[in-house]
Amino acid sequence: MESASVPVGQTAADHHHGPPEAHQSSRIDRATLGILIFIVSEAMLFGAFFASYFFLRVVSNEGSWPPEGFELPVAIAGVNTAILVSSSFTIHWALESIRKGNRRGLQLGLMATWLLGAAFLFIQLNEYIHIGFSARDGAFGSIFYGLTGLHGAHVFIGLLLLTFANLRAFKGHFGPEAKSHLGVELPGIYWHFVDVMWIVVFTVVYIL
Amino acid sequence: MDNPLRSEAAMFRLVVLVGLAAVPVVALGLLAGATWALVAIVLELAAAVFLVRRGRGRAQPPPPTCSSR
Repeated sequence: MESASVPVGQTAADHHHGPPEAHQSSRIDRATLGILIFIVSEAMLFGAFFASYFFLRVVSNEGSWPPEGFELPVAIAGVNTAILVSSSFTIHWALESIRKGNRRGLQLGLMATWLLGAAFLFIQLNEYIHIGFSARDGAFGSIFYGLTGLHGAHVFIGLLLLTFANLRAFKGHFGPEAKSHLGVELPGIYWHFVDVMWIVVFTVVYIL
Repeated sequence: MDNPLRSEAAMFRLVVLVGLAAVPVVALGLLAGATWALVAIVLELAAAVFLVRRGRGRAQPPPPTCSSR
């Protein structure tokens, strides 16, 4: 009887009525919910570091901020910001490509994103080497390395995720259907989050 | 407003939005000083709150109407 009520062109699974399956929301799938909760917890972690930064800035007895003797390479960090923002465009392009069935575009986009992320991390490490102060040099040194280092660690994790996505893309694992490229979509959400966080870190630490 | 964490496309729009919002803040911070950058942030946050509130007002469902039946 049930098969008679299914419209032409749809299977019984497409025409599912009633509550969703156990442990499965009808509004969001488990993997996306997982990355959502993870990113919210990450945002709170960054929030704690920003709270420390502003607390130290407010209670600092130094006349200026950063204190005398601390010189930040704003131009280099600006170029690094442009590199990281560009990587958000390339991963978005990669996903748009696979949604249209263009595997070559996916591979090129993911590879470009990985290279831009690696370049960002390399430039940041180079900045650490030449910046002229360490995390032991007072409160500013500690919070500078704490905030930028926390973000750098997130870029590193993002690069690991992108490495797996790249390997899978070159093995032809992803397809145009939404479920078949979740392995790029979720690292993409994470990568955009890392990007947004860097824009905030750059503005707060280097500009304000 | 869509949850930006639900899809990559929505999150990408957030990146573009935050990036565009940061441009005048960074420009003012470099050219005029940190105080003006802070003023720009406050103005942008106020504009964002206003736009979100106005968007919510428009998204309200229509009031229920009484049916004759």
